[in-house]
Amino acid sequence: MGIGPSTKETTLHHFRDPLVEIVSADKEIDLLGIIVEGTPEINRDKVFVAQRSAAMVEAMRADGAIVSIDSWGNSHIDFTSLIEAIGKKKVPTVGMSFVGNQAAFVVTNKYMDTIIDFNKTQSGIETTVVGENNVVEMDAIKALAILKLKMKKKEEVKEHSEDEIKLRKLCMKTFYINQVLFGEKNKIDKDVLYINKAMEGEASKEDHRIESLKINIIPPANHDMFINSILDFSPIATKVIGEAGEGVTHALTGVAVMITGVETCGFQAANIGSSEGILKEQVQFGRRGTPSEKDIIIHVDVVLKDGEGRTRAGIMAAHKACDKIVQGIRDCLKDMNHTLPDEKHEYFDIIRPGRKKVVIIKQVSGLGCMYDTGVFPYEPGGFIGCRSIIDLGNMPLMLSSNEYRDGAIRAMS
Amino acid sequence: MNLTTARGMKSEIYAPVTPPPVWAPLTKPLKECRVAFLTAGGIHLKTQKPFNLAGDYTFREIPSDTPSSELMCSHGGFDNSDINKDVNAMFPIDRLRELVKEGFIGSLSPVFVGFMGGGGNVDKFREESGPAIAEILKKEKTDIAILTGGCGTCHRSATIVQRAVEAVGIATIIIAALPPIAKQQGAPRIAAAHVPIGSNAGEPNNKEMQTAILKDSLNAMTKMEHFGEMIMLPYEYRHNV
Repeated sequence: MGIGPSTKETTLHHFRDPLVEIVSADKEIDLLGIIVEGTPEINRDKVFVAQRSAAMVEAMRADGAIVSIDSWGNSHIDFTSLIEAIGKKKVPTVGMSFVGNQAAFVVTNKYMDTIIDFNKTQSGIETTVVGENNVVEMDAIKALAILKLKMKKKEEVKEHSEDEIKLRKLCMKTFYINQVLFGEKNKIDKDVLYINKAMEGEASKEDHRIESLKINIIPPANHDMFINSILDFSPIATKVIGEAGEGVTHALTGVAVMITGVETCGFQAANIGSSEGILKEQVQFGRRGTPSEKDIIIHVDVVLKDGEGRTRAGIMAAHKACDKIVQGIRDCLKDMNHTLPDEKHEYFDIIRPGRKKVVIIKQVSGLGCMYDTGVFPYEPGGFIGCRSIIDLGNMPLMLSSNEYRDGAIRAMS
Repeated sequence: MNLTTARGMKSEIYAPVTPPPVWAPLTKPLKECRVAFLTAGGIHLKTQKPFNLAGDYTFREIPSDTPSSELMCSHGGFDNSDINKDVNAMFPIDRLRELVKEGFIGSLSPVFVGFMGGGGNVDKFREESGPAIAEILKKEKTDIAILTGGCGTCHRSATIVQRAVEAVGIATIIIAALPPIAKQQGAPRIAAAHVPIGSNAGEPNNKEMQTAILKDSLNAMTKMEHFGEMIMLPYEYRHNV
């Protein structure tokens, strides 16, 4: 719904699409492909899909993009968000939409300087005549001609001698923690982290699937202890400036978070093989995905109601409750003096023109229960705000290396 | 070959138009306020004439004591299934009556209003329907009007009506599913949760969420001091298809 009869592109239209025909036939153009993106019904999703498409456009090293939409009204949020997201990556765009009078843009932005309105009626309103307000060859020719001019203009200002083009910088500032103690409130005082014990109660009320929850502080020399099945190890990091992959991120070193899960009846939250047992035997310390032996572990032990350790919702509830606790620490970490980190690392998304182009494809869990993966949480390596890759239909997503290293992935497997 | 369809049409030119501010301060505590609810989401009495789905600038008066079972939706711009399950997802009439009973707000305006904002004729809403609706609310001594819109152009129509109501001195807030549209169209106050278009006022049959969205929106009104202020509400709901 939301697509009127006269603007809707039929299957036959897609089957012999004039835009694809014109652009693919042009010998001056190397058409990289066609990205197909839907128009969701939730505003935040609209912005999300626009940003993901823009990441693909950038990763393809496209010199220009034509954005065409066959609906309007609420879908113009999708349309304008996409043009803005691509524009922010400094890739020229031409937009194509039915506008006329009735569909005058309900939202606009400064990147919408070239829009082809394929309205075909005098009145400029949506009609009930199928195919009337569709893209025709001439619209496609106009769009491509304008895009060529915009790309040419950009070419003129570009420096050809550049060996590396830096797209964006991520600055990771780390603060070392030497001691973790319980306190009356969350606080970081030099190298001592205080955790508010009352967070236990609040977090356990996060979801009815949780029976109880405990926070343990495990010092480095105390790995000879029993733990329930491990759900995840995660970092404590927070976004201070910018969005995922750019700006400034603060992270704690010397400390990591471990979630374990069990059901009230004693069933360990796990799928094929569970990792409960003596901590030092169940963890290979010092790997990229595990704490070092010298790290302090903040251990969140979740007891789920019977059966919930075997459901997708139960596992997600455990992650959510744990993330709620970690958020309390992140809020302190945000306020750390950014001029005095223990370490500072700068990462760049870089284009190296003329070199062999390589892509990394990571296949991640997408089955459900303990085979799930969250993408783009609100905070680096967090859970809250993330989208399950299952809900996204396990469709591939393109991430820049900076987005990836800025905690865009939450493992739930 | 003629490349011009209609002379003088300016839609290819970027022109961000946010209308001038309109503002009526909220001067009373909520528990003394008389509240009205308006929706562009196509809600009307089952006995009333349905809206023309291709575009309709008329409106329907809905008595605020109408049982929710006597209401229905005529709107073609979004998935109506949530409203069909529970009209309170768009038009929280039951929740508002509960808020009066609870003493959270003073009373309800005797007349609520439904219209169908999809594809709406901007001029007609601005010049005729908006002022007419505002006049009804003013006559009923309304202090606060809360609005919802469904689809994209619906949010535009809702905001036009909202501005007309604010202009006669009634404080308003729109509970938007598409806040960027409300913002650009010049809504005086905006509240928004992460919900699909069609369930602006909360998940169907989720009394707790619907009540919280209304209460948070009303509370926000008491704190908002400037035109165009927006609050994101911490409620999330999505369809399980």
